[in-house]
Amino acid sequence: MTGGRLAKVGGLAVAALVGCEGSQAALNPAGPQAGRIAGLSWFMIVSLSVIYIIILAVLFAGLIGRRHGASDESEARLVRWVIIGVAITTGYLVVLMVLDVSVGRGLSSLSEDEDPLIVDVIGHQWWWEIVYPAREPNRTVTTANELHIPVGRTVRIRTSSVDVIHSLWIPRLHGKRDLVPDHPSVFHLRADEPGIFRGECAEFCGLQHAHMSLLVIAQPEAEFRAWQAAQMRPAEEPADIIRRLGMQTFLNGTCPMCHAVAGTSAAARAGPDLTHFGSRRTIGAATLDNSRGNLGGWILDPHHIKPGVNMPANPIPADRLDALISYLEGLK
Amino acid sequence: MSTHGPSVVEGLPYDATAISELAETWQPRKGVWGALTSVDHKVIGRRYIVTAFVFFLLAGSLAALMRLQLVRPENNFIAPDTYNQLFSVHGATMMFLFAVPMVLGFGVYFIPLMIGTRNVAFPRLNACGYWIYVFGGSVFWIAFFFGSGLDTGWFSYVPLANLDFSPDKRVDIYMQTVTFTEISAIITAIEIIVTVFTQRAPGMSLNRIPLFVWAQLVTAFMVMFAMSTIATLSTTMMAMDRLVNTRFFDPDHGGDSLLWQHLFWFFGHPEVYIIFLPATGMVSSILPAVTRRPVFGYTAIVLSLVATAFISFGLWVHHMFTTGVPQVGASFFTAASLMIAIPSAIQVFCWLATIASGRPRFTTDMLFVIGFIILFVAGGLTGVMVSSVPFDTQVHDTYFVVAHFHYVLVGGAVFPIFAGFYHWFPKLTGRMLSDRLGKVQFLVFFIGMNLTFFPMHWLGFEGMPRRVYTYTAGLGWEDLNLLATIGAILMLIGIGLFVWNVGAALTRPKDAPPDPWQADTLEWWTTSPPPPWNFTYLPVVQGRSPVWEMTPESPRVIGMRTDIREVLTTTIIRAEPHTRHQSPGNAISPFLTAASVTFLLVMLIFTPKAVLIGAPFVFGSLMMWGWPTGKPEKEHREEGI
Amino acid sequence: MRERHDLDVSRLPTVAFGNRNQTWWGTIGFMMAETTTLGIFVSSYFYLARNRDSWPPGAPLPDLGIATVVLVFMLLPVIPKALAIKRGRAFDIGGVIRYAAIAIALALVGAIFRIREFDTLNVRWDDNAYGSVVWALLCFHTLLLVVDIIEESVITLFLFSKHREKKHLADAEESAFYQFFLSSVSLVVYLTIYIAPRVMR
Repeated sequence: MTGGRLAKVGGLAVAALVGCEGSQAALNPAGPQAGRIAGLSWFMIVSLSVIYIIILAVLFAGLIGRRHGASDESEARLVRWVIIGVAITTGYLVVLMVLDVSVGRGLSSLSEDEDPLIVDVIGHQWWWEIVYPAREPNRTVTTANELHIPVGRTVRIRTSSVDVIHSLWIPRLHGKRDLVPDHPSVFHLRADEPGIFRGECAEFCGLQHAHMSLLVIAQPEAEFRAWQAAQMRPAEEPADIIRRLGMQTFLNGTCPMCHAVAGTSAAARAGPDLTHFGSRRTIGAATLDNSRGNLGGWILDPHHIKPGVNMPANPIPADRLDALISYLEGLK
Repeated sequence: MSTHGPSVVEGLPYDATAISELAETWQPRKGVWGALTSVDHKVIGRRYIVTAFVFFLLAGSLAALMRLQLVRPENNFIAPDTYNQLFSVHGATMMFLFAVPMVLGFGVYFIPLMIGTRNVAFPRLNACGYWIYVFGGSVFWIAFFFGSGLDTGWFSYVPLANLDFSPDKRVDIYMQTVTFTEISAIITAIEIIVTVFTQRAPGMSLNRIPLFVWAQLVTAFMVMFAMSTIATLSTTMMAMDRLVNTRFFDPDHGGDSLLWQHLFWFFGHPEVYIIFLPATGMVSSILPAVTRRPVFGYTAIVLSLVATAFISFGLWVHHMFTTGVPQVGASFFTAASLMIAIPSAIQVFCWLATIASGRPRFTTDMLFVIGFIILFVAGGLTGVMVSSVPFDTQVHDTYFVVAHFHYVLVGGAVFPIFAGFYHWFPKLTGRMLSDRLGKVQFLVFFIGMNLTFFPMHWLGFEGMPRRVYTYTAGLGWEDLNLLATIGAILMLIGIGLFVWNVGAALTRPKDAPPDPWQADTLEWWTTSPPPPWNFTYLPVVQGRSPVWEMTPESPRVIGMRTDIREVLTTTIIRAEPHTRHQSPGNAISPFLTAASVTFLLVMLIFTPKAVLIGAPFVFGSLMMWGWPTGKPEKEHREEGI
Repeated sequence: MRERHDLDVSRLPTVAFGNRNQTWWGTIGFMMAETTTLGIFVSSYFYLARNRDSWPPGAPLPDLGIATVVLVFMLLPVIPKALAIKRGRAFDIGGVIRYAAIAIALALVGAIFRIREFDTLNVRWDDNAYGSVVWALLCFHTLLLVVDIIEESVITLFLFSKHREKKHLADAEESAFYQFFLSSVSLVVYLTIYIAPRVMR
């Protein structure tokens, strides 16, 4: 299958996977931060629409209404109406200001939580490095493009970037925060229901800014811990011959120059960590569904799907490619 | 509120000898040489308007291509690198090469007419400003056609725009393009300030100048500060980072990414008001003619213009709400961003009061004014929404913001500009545009605009970010994008109708009357188009609506020389005449200076040595500029010492 | 028809001074632009300094010696220029030329020392952002200084020639007025580069 067709099929498959209409909708909140913002948004949408309709009504009345002829009285009346208009405008703006400050305070209340889950999100052109730091290095989880969080628990996200400015945006959970290389920052969010929420890079970061999305997977606490435990384990030695051949292909090729698989000699950090690649749902920062066919197309020539990525094309003969795919898919 | 008599133009009796002498003194030379040496503000103003419109068409075509690419998900009509150039060049062209030169160009043409003088304060500088603008814009677009179009967005954030992530010349070309346009804008601003303060007709005290002129004057002050900022930022700091390894924006050497954002938006926010305020001036200028009463609330509007200008310099951080700025600081900028709605609201209320208490006439210029109010208010209200930090963190960098700023820019500037075209076309060209075709154009363009940009509000809420060359299927974005693309096609048709209207009008004979609209400002007190010297006798002004107040007995200025180019300078506040000032005539030095500046700046894209190599040429042309003409009988020689 | 009382301006003079002179306004325009540029550089200087533990970063303090000498020669021309303005209003060409020449000479001496001053900054423009902004400040003022010296010289030489007119005296007054601005800029630059880091320590 050529890369181009793969992209289209893959795209649809991701969509189906994520069940996505509304998975990225800011007005469909799944957590308290997005919820507060949605509330504020609806207040403004409704009240400003009313104001707008009133202004349109005044305009049209003025255009088609009857003329009463000029006089000092009518000028004075107009002055009164304009002053009333200005007073109402000012009053409304004051209300908005107060609301704004109070919602802002509400948003930062999560930061006072005692026991947040800490996650580092580091931006790269054009993928997300996601690290769950721990005191012991062998309990640190490093993954890419997929952020798992426990439902109902505050998550403290620490942002930074290794190259240009990116922006992490998960609309159903929170407003966005920029990933500025020389200005790391911190923000908090929480998911109050399980599900898969889609996120985007929301700051123009170059050629493939359009294909830098991520999946946020909110799971009940127990499931999350199980996932985290599995992610801490290094990759198992492959049992069957095909996967062993695949591992050899991986280690002898150019892959280890950028990718790491814990438990092997591959330890580079330039590209996404592949230790548990098989457990991830997407390839290429949520550009493609993670399937054998898509993976093959991606490895052979990622530029068909995401032109300009830093990963080179890899012309690998078909049988080895098949083994390599089996190896990678088995990295659960 | 006064009724007005028939248009009074020049009046009788006049001295036929005076007119023929004026014609000889003020006539430009013929042919190509005449075009290169003209210092007539009307010629230069018209050039600005036409050139800016060409850039509008060019940038608009890029937008059409973008909409075609986005009509369906994972489209492959346009490649990613091309698309990134499209949106960057579209934005940069609309902001720097269309909007500002267009509104300032109207100022260059109409201000001397509206204040009753013969030319701007520094006519040769005015000419030079235009040449610099058109040379700079051409360099930018020629580079684009050769594949070196800007690709980092018109805001060109670092580190993406630094050498390590943008190693080619695209950013350098852009930085110098900005230089050209900012020099041109600053030159025009100086013209406006000095002309308005020193050359108003006797009796036109500051509280009698037209609101159009007030808007341009306030804008000119904003330009002085805002454009100087971008000059320092782009022309100097960024260009030097890329050319001689200064480290302003290099985080590895103590530089700061956010410093760029602060400085860019300190310029960028006032920039949009630089575009908007002159447009409000145009609306305030058109309304008296189409409602047949002076604009309600003259003083309130002037104060609103000034307040808007000041406050606009205090808003810039609202473009940076998602960078993690501290909450207290951010709240200050929310407050300022909300506050600026008040003077804008005052202007809108005054216009509504004018319409409600006047007798509206529904010619095409009025329709565009109505369209402006409908669209700008909508954009202003979404602006109030994005002033809120929490709300902005959701919609920043999404299509919601694209919708917001197109409502305020297309609604708030392009619609008044079209109103201005229909209103002033007879004065500029001596012909009338077809009002019927104009109404059709208005309808198509208005519907197209809403169809294009209204769905984008929703797209933002649904999660679609900006500046993406494509998007994933199945997220619910397809239908809205399709609608937007259809709307864009309608907008294209609307603009096509306008171009046809103009083309057809230009084939008709030059028979427009001096004052077809029964308007009140002084540009309508002379022929359509005006003669090169504007007025045979300068007017003496006695109120805010001079043409409505003029009678055949109204006093005029006599005693100005007709054998040399002379303008009258008057006091700043009360416009009492104090000096007769000689105004420079046709000259080639402005063109040569602009050419040498162009040579220097283009070289500066490639090497810092450009300053040394180019400076002698610039110096030489400036020497030529300042050299006395040496024709004693053609100067104020009696003041020799 | 009633009498029309036209306004006869034929006796008005043809040269104006001070804020009635359009060149004065042009000078104000330049000052606005240049003040903004200076403000941007100074703000950038302090912005870059705010997150640093030690300032200047990675470089010793710039030396005070030569810089202070330059500052003196930048401030002194205010005196002859003020006197030149007085002489100009009295139409005393000789006086104007004399004082203008003194001012130009002082500025030239300062400019020569300025060349040496760059070395005493103790940092290169490409060492780090601090170095860049300090060089930018100094280069900015130097540019204004050089352009002003050239302009002054041209205007003063003009007063020698037989083409001179009253309006050239008005122009001379404008450029003298600019001197106050230029001296202020040199003071601000000096305070930012040399005094601020010493205060911030």
